[in-house]
Amino acid sequence: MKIVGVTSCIAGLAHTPMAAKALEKAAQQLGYEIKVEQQGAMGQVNKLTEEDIAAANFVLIAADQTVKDMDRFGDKKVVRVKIGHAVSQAEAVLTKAVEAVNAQA
Amino acid sequence: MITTNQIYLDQTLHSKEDVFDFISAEAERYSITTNRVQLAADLWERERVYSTGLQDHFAIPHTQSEVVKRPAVMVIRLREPIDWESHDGKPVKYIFAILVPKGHVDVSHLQIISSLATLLLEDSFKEAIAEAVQPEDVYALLHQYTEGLVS
Repeated sequence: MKIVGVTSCIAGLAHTPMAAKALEKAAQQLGYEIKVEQQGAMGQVNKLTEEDIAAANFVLIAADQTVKDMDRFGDKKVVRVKIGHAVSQAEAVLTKAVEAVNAQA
Repeated sequence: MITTNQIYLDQTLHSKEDVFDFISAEAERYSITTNRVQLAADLWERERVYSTGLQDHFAIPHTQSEVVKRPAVMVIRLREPIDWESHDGKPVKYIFAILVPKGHVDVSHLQIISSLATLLLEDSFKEAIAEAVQPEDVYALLHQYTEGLVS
């Protein structure tokens, strides 16, 4: 399972990098591949490439505001979660997202 | 950006309101702001969007505010935990406050904030903060865990 993600919070200071790190740790734990772009106070950090997106099974958006450049995901499946959940329950968030995507497949 | 003067161990504060007033007063004392009333209001504004409580008794109140003059981080460890409306329902005892000016902020400062925030996902760091005896211990942990970013 390959996942690309974007995290974005209101201030772009704390939850954006925390959610990214939490999702990366959780993915490692669960045996998924993930790359997470942060859209925060530093702009786009760890920006997703076209190749990253093409290879991904789905897109996980952990945000509490509008995410930039959604167009690039085309018709990929997108799962949206609250950023607070991604920080505090990253494993559960990923597990549920993967279940949801598998159920649609 | 962070000094041992802004690491407060075993403070007695009784509510989130007390904590925000304390942060704002200390920010004024160290010339991080000239308007502590507005700073407290700005912390509240962010807080109302959703609680900055994390899991395991940690919280990370923050604001990017017109009245903040320079980036600063404060660490507060409370003697008794207080309610913070955290998602896991646990009261908060450890507070990492992040104050950032509006407008341009040096990327190096944002990187420090980013790495401090992600540290709060590390169990060993959180345990060490709980066990720290004096502010210098906390500072040394920040230095060590950010691989020298905090220095």
